[in-house]
Amino acid sequence: MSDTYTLLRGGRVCDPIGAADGGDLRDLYLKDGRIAATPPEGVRIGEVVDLDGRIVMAGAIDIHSHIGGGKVNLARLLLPEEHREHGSGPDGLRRSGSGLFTPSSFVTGYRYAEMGYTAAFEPAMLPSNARHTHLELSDVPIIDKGCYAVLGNDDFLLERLAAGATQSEVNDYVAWILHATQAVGVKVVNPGGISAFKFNQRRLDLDEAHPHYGITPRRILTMLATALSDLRVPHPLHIHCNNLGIPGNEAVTRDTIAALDGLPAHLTHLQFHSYGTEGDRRFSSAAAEIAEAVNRSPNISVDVGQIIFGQTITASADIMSQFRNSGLASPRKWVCADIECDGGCGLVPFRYRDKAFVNALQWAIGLELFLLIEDPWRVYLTTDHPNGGPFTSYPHLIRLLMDRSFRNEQLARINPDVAAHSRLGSIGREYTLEEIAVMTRAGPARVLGLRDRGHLRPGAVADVVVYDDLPDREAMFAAPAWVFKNGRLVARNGELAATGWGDTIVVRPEFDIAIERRLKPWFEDHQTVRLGNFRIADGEILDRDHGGLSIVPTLTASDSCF
Amino acid sequence: MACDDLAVMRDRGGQLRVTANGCARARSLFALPALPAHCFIRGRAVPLDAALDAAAALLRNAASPAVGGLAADTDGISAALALAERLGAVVDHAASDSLFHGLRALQVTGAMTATFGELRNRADLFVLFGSEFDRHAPRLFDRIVRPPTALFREPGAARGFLIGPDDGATSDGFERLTADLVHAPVIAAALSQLVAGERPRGDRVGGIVMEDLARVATALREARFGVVGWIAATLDPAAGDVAVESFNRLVVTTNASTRCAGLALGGKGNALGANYVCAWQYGVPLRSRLGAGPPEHDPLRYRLKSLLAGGEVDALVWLSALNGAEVPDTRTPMIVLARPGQPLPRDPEVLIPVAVPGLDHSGSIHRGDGVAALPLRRLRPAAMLPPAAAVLNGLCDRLPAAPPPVLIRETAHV
Repeated sequence: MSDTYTLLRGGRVCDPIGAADGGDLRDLYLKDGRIAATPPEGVRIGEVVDLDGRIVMAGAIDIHSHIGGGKVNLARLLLPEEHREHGSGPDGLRRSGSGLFTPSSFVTGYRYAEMGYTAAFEPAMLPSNARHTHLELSDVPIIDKGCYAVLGNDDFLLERLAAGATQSEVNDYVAWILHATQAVGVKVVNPGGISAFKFNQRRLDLDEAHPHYGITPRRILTMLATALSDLRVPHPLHIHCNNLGIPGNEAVTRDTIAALDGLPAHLTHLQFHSYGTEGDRRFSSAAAEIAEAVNRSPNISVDVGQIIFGQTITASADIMSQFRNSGLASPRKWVCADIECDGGCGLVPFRYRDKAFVNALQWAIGLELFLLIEDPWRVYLTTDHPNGGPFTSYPHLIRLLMDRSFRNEQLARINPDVAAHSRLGSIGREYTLEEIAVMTRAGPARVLGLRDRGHLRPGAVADVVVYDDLPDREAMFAAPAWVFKNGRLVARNGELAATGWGDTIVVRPEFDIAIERRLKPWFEDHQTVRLGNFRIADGEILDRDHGGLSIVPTLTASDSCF
Repeated sequence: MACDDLAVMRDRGGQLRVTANGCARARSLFALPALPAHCFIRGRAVPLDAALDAAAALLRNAASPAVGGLAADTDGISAALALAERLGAVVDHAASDSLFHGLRALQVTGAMTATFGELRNRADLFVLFGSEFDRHAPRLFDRIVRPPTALFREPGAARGFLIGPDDGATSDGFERLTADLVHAPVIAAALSQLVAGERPRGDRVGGIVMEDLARVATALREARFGVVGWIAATLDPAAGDVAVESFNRLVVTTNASTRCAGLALGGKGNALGANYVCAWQYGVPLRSRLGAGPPEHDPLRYRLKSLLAGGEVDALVWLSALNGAEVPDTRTPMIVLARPGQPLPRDPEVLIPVAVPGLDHSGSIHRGDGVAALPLRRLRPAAMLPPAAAVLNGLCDRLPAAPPPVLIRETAHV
């Protein structure tokens, strides 16, 4: 503990939770890694940073970014050409590393910090791969991180659901998984579909019975969404809908929203699930219909998964979709794996081309969703890194949202059929700085239950970003003037200034440990790892001395969730 | 495979013994004595600090250093890679030849695979290329091919084909098709054609008559979930990657109509784990040079065995905390960090004994199928030796800090 304050003097604080809209000049005090209340006169101020009216926001939070774990690492191995092209040596501060859309662990932390991001969430941790994922993430410096455990294709759950398991048994299992895998949420990926692919089924709709278990994706979805709600886990079920990438999938997306029937849920990379079948090519934007469904459903939050033109790799647990798309691989190599009666993994390198009709339309659909969904508290900025493009393209994306003339210039460059028919050009909306602060900070923090992040009120973690108020919003957000993590300066003018370790964020709802009586024999009879070795002890994370554990409190009756 | 179902007992003398589910490899590792051991400089016993000073002196003057062996747990590997980054050294694992058959194929064509747990419950047909399965994958049959229980198939009824030289071993339900594994690529290619409904030319491929191959292809097509597996160490050393590419094509072809997965078998000394740690920390696999500018990967140029044979290394750090990394017989000045009892072909310049992960300290390693990392626990309370990571960090601290700054290369995505 130190007794000195750092004073950030005279910034325009843009803090939607703290009800500051960036209008007036304010001072901000940091102490012991937290935002402090204005101290009494005469206390010692250790350091004063004059902000000269620059824009101040909390550290940004990436709610959905594939930054570590088995499939990301396989993607690195699949693409030596990417890493040959984008490498960096050690410089006394930075460790060496490489990669652009599958950056190595150290580079990942540096680039996020340099961009003013102070937390990122790995959205697809297979429970069987959890230890590997945490080992990798513990080598990502500076930022806080957390993981969503992937459920909904694991044979234990499917078999129990088929056998008529009660909601309370499912709740105990979900809670047990959250504890055992050190997760902060649960994601369901193509519910039932990944498992169905193992039985050689190539597509599964919301109300189609699973070929072996006879249960429907609808049932898997609602049981899991109910479980998280019952357990009072702040982050609701994180849903990757069925039929990703298939023209006409907007119907299953709208049906999914309807099936949830008011239960809180987060629909991820919505862009990939908002496709219609109109037009000569039977592929069209259904962004307006999907946005309307989201606008009407206050229980739903989304992130977009915007595509950015250029080379990337799509990395997903959804092997059913990825195998179907493997013919599109560019370069022509790809990976699919069936994993541990637990899930799957599919890696398909991809180049999004602005002149290609399909890619241009995907780009427009993403932007339409951002602009047509009205409430910035329920739509978050993502490219589904690396699936739509690397997280380093966020500043570009922010400019697309904030600057209509820039957006329309880009629109004029893409495939002319899309440019001519898209409604994008007619949308006048420009995001305000406050709305950007909501969708990249306050909103994700709220939907993740991070009470002391995403805002700048006294008591918050002192993750603070100071921007020059430049008319070019891309330049502004690419290289913040100052970035503080836990009150320490970590980047200056977009260049790393110091490094360190962030926390692993987890949630630990209460549950009945008796579920282990059912799980133990399951592990022994059907798995290849014993239950005792599956579970990750706190010491496995803490003993590496690469950051602590931060436990998100479960919701209480007085908390509003939307 | 890195099995996690061993039963380990401590006898009255404090010696550990594997009492159930082990293989020969596991039994010999767990039976290692917990000996106090000295450090040595050219055969002369010295304290640890003196050994580290001598090692640092040797490395400080090296122009082309290398860090090899890498048979260690995650933290030991991480520390070895950080040392390599400090030195500008090439990194490679002792058992990387087998690993790179698969990795080079992955870099060219990708892969379609499944993990042990999936296959144990699901696979109803095994087409296995290789020989000496008992030696290279000792528990393949009892854990995966014929497990005691299975969710989606008859656990005892798996059938299949063993393709490779006749080593006399057989298994119920398995048919041997004798062939030299040099021909594995053409055999697998012919199988792909047959699965796709084409008829390859000729009566035999790689010494196997076409009718036999047609039966294999039919079995793959009719299986609900087939496996094409291979013992990487038994493939043609010069063209193992071509074989694996061919296996992968067979798997992908079969998946047009039914399910099938590839399965690489073998591997030792946590080679897969070492490669994974290198990939996540640096973005590149082993056989890379770290720290001399951006990571530079070249699977041919940076094969450590070749570099040593060509006299292209002037100082070698060798890490062998687990078994599976025989110390190379080389005149290259060498600093060896090894578990007690590690055979040494000659006295190295510096020898520093290290603790055995999973016996003397906790940690983690990767299982043979890559998905599951397993926890290692401390089983012997009175550890007398330091973990490899601590020794390597001590060595790193004695070396000058990083070279002058190299700017991160500017990149633009759009």
